Amino acid sequence: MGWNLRRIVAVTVAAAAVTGMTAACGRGGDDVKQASGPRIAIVTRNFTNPYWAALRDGALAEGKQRGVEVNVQAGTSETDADGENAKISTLAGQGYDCFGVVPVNASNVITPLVPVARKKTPILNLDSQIDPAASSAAGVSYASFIGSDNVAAGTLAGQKMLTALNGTGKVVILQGIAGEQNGINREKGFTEATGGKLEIVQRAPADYEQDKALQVTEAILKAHPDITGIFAANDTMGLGAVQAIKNAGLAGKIKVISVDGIKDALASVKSGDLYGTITQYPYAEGQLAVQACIAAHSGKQIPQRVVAPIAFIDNAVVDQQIASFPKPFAPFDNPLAPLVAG
Amino acid sequence: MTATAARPRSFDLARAADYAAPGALVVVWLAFFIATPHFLTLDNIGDLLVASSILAVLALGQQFAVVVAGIDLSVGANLPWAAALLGATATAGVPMGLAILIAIAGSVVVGVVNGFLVGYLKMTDFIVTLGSLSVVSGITLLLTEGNTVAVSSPFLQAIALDGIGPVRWFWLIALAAAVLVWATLFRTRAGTHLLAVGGGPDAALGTGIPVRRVRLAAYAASGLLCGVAGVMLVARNGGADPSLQTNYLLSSIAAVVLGGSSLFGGKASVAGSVTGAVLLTSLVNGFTIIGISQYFQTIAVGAVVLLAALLARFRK
Repeated sequence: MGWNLRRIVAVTVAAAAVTGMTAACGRGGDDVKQASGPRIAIVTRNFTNPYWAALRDGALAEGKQRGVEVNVQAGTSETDADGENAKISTLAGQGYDCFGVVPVNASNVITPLVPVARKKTPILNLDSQIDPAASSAAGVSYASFIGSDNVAAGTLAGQKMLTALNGTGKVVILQGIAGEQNGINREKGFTEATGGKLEIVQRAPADYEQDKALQVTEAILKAHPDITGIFAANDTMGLGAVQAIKNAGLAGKIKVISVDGIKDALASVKSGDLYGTITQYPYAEGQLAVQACIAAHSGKQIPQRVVAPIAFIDNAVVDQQIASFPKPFAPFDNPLAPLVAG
Repeated sequence: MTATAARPRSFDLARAADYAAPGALVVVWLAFFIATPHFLTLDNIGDLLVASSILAVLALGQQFAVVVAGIDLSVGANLPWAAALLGATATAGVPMGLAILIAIAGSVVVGVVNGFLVGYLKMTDFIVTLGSLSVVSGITLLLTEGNTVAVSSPFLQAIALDGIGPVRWFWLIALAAAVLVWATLFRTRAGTHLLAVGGGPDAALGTGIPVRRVRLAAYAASGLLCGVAGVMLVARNGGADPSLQTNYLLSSIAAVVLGGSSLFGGKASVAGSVTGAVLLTSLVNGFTIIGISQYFQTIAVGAVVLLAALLARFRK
């Protein structure tokens, strides 16, 4: 009998703990809510990727500063289209005044956004482009696209590589996941910027993974020991390449430039391993999204396309960037600033 | 502690365990109602039920495997497999109606293979469906080359978003599936056989029930409903995502267990499984509205499942 009683108590306590947690957290959330400005919902892919976590932090910080309610939700992984869509359709019924959405792919968010569009709620397309043709077929349109220009990031990387190599030499490109548009655009920008000057001896996919980039680079170094530069389409691959170069005893002879500006990459630039990284500012992207929502809500015309800032971080400015991370270390040209001033 | 003294108490607890899902649902809804004014609204409950529909259909399929004392882990891959088939055929220009049938048929094939291996070759259900989970996932990725296939069909979009007046199509699909499964289990001879095989295969064999065929049918039915859920998934997402759906897999099993079915077979509760699906979806929905970190969401869902397992200990 004693055992049974103990079990009942255990179950009750556990049940109370679960429900208590939900209730307690809920009240905490309510206190933050302000009724003044628009209520803003932002949905992204996940928060495990530091890039999206920074976007969330930027949006929340901006919302807090301007006294508007911002709810940022996400799926569970880079490819969790269904989880992301569940969040969108849940929030769609909650009377938010503005939506910002980072899609998993070009089409996944269109169907859940239809009810939002039917209510004439403004929708911002964040970071990665949503298929415009399929969107308009479903009756969904976007107030603005806010994101980095990845071709420009590739171009900037190409220009910096040219400077680093004095305008000549053999280089290798480490590509991301096959078919992924941001990676394709970065590669395109780099190729165009270096065309006719640097010789691209190989383009190898390393799937945005550090370990894969390490293996791929080791193999490449055996085939082309005379290369002097590597462009990696993201930082994790750049770090893998740096390691491979170290392992091969070629440190200092091959310059690596990558894209993203994650913390590890900044640390590597500081220690002199990674030559430089083209940083994007997802934190600023989150801030811009909230600003665009506020501007749209107050009836102002917002630009069709808002380009989030990028910057080249090498040894000269890395300390400044580490200090201000995840915010930009220098002010940038923000077309939304006059719309939300005052 | 004597046997006679313990009996009435554990009997009460066993009954309480049967009502775990509806009870927890009331508690969770009440908690969210207190926490936010945005939860218990017609709009939100409507969406919540739509969001629960895919999981409910999937759980109803899982119910068939569980009722014969088995388990179908392959749904995690069978679901995207059906979605990918629909995406591939629709992209190739096959009429939507036929594409949907092909997708569902593809999932039934997976179920039949599982059922053949478990029923006729007497292989362990756990291992068989774990194996097919991996094989089917690989085939799906090969078919789609790992990419999501966009399916922009006004018909599927209407199914996901519209309905008859305020009654959404997704609710009706889930309801129809639930009624059919209930009727099959409790109003047909096949259902009696399923329950008997789950309750005790040796005894069932002794009374002349074709145990092997019944097992095969159970996994085929699981595959069938998984195919239907796959079509719903494509409708809701506007595309076929080939990646493994482990969340749906775990939740489908959890919903069945929460609903009061025994993992040892022979006992089924259709209403319970559907309630379990709604409960699990409610947690995610409510947390999303309140704006709680998704890390808490997975903890809470897991905690509810563990509680259900604990309660299941008291069942006979």
